[in-house]
Amino acid sequence: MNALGLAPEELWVIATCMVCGLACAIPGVFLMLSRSSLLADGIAHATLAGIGMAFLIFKSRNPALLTAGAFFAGLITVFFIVGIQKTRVLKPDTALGVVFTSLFALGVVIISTVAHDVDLDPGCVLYGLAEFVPFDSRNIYGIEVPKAFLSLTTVLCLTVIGYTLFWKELVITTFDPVVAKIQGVPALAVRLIFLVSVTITVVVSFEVVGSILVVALLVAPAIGASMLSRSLIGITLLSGFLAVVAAPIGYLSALHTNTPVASMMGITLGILCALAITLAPSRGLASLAIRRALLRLRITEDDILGILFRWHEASSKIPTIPIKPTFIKSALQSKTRASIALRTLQWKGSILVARDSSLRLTEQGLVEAKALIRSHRLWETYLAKHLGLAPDHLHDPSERTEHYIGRALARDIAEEVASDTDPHGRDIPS
Amino acid sequence: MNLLLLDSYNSRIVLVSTMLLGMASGIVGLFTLLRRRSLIGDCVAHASLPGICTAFLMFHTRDFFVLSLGAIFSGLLSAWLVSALCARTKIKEDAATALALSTFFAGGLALSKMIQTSPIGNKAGIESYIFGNASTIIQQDLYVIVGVSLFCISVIGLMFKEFVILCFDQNFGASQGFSPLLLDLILMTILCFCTAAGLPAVGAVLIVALLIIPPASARLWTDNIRYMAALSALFGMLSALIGTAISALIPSSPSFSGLPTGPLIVLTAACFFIVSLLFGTSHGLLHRLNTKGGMR
Repeated sequence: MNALGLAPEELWVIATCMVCGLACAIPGVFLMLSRSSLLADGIAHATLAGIGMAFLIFKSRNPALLTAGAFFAGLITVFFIVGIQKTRVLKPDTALGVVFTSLFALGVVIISTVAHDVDLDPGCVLYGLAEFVPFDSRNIYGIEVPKAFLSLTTVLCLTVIGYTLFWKELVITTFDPVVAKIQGVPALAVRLIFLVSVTITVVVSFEVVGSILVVALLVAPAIGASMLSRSLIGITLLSGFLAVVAAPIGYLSALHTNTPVASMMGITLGILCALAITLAPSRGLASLAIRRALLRLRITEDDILGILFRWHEASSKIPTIPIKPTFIKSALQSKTRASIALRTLQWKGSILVARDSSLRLTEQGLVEAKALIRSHRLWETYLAKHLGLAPDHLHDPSERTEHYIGRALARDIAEEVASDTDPHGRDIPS
Repeated sequence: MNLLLLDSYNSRIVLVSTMLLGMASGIVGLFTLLRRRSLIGDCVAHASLPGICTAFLMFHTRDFFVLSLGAIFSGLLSAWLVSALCARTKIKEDAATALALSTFFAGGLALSKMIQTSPIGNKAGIESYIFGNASTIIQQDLYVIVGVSLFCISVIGLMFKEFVILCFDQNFGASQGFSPLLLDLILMTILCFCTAAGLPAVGAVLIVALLIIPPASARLWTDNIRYMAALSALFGMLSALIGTAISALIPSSPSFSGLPTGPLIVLTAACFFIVSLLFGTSHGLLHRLNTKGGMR
């Protein structure tokens, strides 16, 4: 027993799931990038036919033979898909759908007719046998190590070595097979070897996690990682990290809910992925929404400053009634956004609210408003001078552009137009 | 053969319902195929499992109508998730499909295990929705299957023109006042209906085959969409007929539980596909050799 209160067997299950997750997460990144994630689903389904055929031919339940059969069926799927893609008879996804469903059906028929008196049932192919991993172990230097752990570690090591050695070729083939060919990389061969390695991973993993959940292990970490990082190395490392994290969480939640480990690991990965998709700092949906809301707020603030400045300008010439929040709210698109913007402006010290609730600019607000109106009128002048727009066509484009013209650009435009007044005859504030 | 299949009312209606289902999924599948979204059916089919289990856990009934409502709901949810992910993030369609498919199925497996270990009664047969077996269908289910299949066929029949426009030029369709979004939603909904109807006979994992293989076979024979739809329906129907017949003809014995219907239907469809791939008069391999062989 240890800190988590888990028996050694349970730790072996977690370790096996971690290795399995890692071995799947790395190829998963390249599957995702080459837009063939569903191929994993196809291979995983097709293996059932291979297992059935192996059993039918050899009449034995020797795991090595069954694994070989599964591998063979996976290869047939891969070659068939790549072949169909070359002949262009059918779309690749359609071809995939046809092949794997047929092979899966064949597998179910064989297993339910021939092998049904042996305990080989399609159900355990779906669930995976992660819980039973420790019961099939081998003694290595006095430690009982589960066989599944050993085989998965071998696959993982081979994957890591292979990917490090052929990283460059793999990357270029994944992103642009045509350029790869021009550069002298045998693109088709690299793609085939890659898919064969995926097949090996799927075949070895699905004993542990089941045929459909292996798809979750291949795809989910890669998707989650791609939301968090932009560099390929970063995505690969992060996706491995997500897979490793999901293993203990999946195991413990399976323990508490009395459900299969593999499916809980799949669900955990799905949740991690959903978190990454919503909360990723730069591209997450929530982060994007917040950034959009802040931008909207800034534009609304600018609009309020503009209204107040224009009132200021007018009231120095003719007597005008003071501006009240109700007027601002009715003048702008969204009342709620306007009232939030009024509060933030007040909080920043750009506007003052008088006792009769009329609004006026502070010194600081005046400076900000001047910069904004300067951008607006400079742009109007520029449009009139260089594009020859009619005076009544100047305001709307400038109303959009004023928020994005920085100080440096405003200076350049001022030099270019060399004018103190805008086309409507109003002063350009400096 | 007639004696075996038609001697009881039940086997007759099993045959009729699987044939209708084959027709319906053949036609619905044709449109998802032409829209290049064949594998969305795979996603919807796998995603129906958590819906079935949730419906069972909520209402404690094995009534197929209730369960299929759950299946339709979770199937639609997964299809919506896939299109939302594609529209709002940079995730590609295949990755989004694989993600939704595998995580929904993981949820379904966990729930079905919970059902097995729970003390709720009357839970036998929930598992059969994964692989499907026509022999476990009860008469009430059959009426649902027949009804849903006829509904799907008639929706497609009534909106044939709109769906054709959706598949070939959705911008043109939009300019003519057919909202692609609404049409897509209708297509996805009847796809989910079809999937749900296929669950007891064919199962969640294999129903997608009926949505892909018959249309893919029909595509190889002709370029005319009306003929294609008719052929696809015919292939679906014949596959269901032959598959169900073989399953019924091979008797089960105490040591042998008989051949499952779903996989047999799929294998029959696969045979039709192989024939079509070789001899298809418009895109088949032999046709290609004859016409374009010299030019390539």
